[in-house]
Amino acid sequence: MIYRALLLCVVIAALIINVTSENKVEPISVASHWVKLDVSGKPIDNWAGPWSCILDNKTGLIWENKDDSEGIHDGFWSYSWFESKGGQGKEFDSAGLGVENWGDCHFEKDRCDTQDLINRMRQEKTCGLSQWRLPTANELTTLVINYQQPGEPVIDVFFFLTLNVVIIGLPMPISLCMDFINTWGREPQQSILLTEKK
Amino acid sequence: MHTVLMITVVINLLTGLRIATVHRPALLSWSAFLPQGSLHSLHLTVALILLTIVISYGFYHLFSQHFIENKRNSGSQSKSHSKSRYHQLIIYLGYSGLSLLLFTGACLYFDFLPANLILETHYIIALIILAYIPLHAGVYFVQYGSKLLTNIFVFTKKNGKANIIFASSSIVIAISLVSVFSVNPPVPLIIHQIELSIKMQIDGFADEEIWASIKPQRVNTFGGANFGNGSTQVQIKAVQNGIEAFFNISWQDTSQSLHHLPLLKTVNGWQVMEDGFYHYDEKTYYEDKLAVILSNNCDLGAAGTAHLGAKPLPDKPANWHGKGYHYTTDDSIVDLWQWKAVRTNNMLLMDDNYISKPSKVLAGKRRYTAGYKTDAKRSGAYVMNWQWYTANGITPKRLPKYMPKDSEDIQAYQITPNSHQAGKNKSWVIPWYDAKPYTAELDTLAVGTVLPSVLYRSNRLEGDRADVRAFARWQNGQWSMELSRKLITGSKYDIELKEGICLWLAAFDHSQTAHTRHVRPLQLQFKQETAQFEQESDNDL
Repeated sequence: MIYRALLLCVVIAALIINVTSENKVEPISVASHWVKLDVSGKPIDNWAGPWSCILDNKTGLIWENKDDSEGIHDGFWSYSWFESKGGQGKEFDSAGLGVENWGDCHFEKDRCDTQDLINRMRQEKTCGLSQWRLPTANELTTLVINYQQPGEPVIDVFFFLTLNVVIIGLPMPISLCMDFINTWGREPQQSILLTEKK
Repeated sequence: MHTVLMITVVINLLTGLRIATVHRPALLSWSAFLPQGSLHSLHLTVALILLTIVISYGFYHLFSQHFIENKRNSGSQSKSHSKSRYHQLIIYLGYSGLSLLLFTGACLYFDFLPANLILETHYIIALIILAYIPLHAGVYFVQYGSKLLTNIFVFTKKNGKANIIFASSSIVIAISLVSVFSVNPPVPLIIHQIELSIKMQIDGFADEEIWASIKPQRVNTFGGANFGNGSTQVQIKAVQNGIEAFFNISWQDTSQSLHHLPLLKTVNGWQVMEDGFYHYDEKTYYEDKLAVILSNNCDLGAAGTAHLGAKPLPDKPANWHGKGYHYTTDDSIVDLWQWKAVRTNNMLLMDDNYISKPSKVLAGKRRYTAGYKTDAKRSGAYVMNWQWYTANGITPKRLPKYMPKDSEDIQAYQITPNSHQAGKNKSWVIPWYDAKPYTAELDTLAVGTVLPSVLYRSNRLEGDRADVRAFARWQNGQWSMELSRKLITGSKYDIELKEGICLWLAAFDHSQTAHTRHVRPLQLQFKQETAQFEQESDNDL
């Protein structure tokens, strides 16, 4: 009887110890092929921020992250597609393909085009990189995910926070907004740049 | 009988304690021992079985002399049990506790007596029953060891006639109880018909004559945070004109809470004022809210969408607060409207959301919300005024444009700790273009300055998410809200407002997720006759 009493006490004590001990496990982020990079290009956790670029470990491409800072990465600016001759930038050659200075932004004296964004990001060395360029159509399709919340773009909005529309430059402007829409005209669109992983 | 009683008591204790974790965070330390998932219906069903046994046993006890032929010779062991003064006392404690538990549970179900008092009593008695288990079974185990198990679990043919009568009476009582509960419909909510020509203004005043002519349906909601004791009475009136439905909902709340996660400048930079936001369970610095759930399904636990526990979905992430998730287990949609005193009231809207099957896990999303999702919007947004939230500090996105010249304006936002009274005429929202991008050079505000955290990129949402127009006013310790929505919106994420739809209400007193609740839903009943007010109005015309 004493042993049974002891056993009962031990069971009750074990229950109390278990209940009073700190056993809460907090959720942790799951792995992803997307990796956030901070302003210097250093990887940070999926749930950390802010971040300046996103590395796609599947393709090796590094994408610009858009924001709402009213700086050069603001996702609410629009850009007309324009490529200066030889891709050297307007300071070297004013002739080029597309429509110059037809988008809306605050960081240029004139209105904005994609070459302005390329030049600025190369100067800034966003994420420590200077080979920023417009993506090709195929590269752009690698952003598309097969899962969509109502009204959300078909991209991972938790890595690409303010990316709604993507424009690429060669050979014709194409935009991506929930699904592909060809924008053959002069309508300025949001733009995103990428570069290859070193 | 004893075995069934044991099983039902244990199931009800475990499911009940899990349900209680939602509003008693201290109980989360028991989480490892408690079941997870959709438990409200199970809790009620097992309670009905328990009630059946208790009633049957009452009759059995009363008439046992007639049923039991050999009661006096039924074994020395049970005789010795019955002679134990200790066990007699403990068993009487158990009987009383179970009876009170069932009584208070029925009061909660039928919304009798003050919900807060009943809920508290229900919980305390449950703890007494929990203590009863070691005091009763534990002590028997110490006294008799494993022989006790034989006595409990081995079926005996003794008192066969009594057993048959007991079992039969239990079945009859069970059928009666199930009939009583199943024919007892959800609480009706009459939707009065009005003429299409009657003008309804969604301004929170509820000064249209029709509202004065309608008797409100009262719902005692409980189990929330704050509200003094976690409970508040919600009153609801409803009319429809064939195209739109209009609701006037009011609820008691002694404080108008608009301090939604304010930003505080400290010597170490800007900090979000919070007391649980990191775990998505803020209960101090948050706006007041009201949620309405609508569903074709009238199951308990918010149309069966409440799945309790930190990880009710084995293949999905645990939730941060340990309370649970809302989701459906089939392809159905449950409509969820959320009015937010800061974020949507200034947009004259409720946030039109919905609950469906659990969503896919996205690696970059820190807060997994399972089936809780927002309807699509075409444009418009409110955003929080931080570049990225961390518990250790933030950098604001924007600072007020006219700062510090407009210091009087900034002064209106300065609050004392734990104060929830809003400054006069302050919406606690900064329009996007009334602010400029943050830079350290621009940030000349003094340490200790408080700023709102909500920025409006536009003055309202547009699209499917903006289907519910609403505006509420706070006066004399009460929020009064008017809202309207089309009976049929055409959206696959909305529920058509029609006869038989069930509705739940939940109020939030400066809390993020801790909301009040009620057990039985309201059920929409469309009254065909035009309300008396309209008839008189027509006559006047």
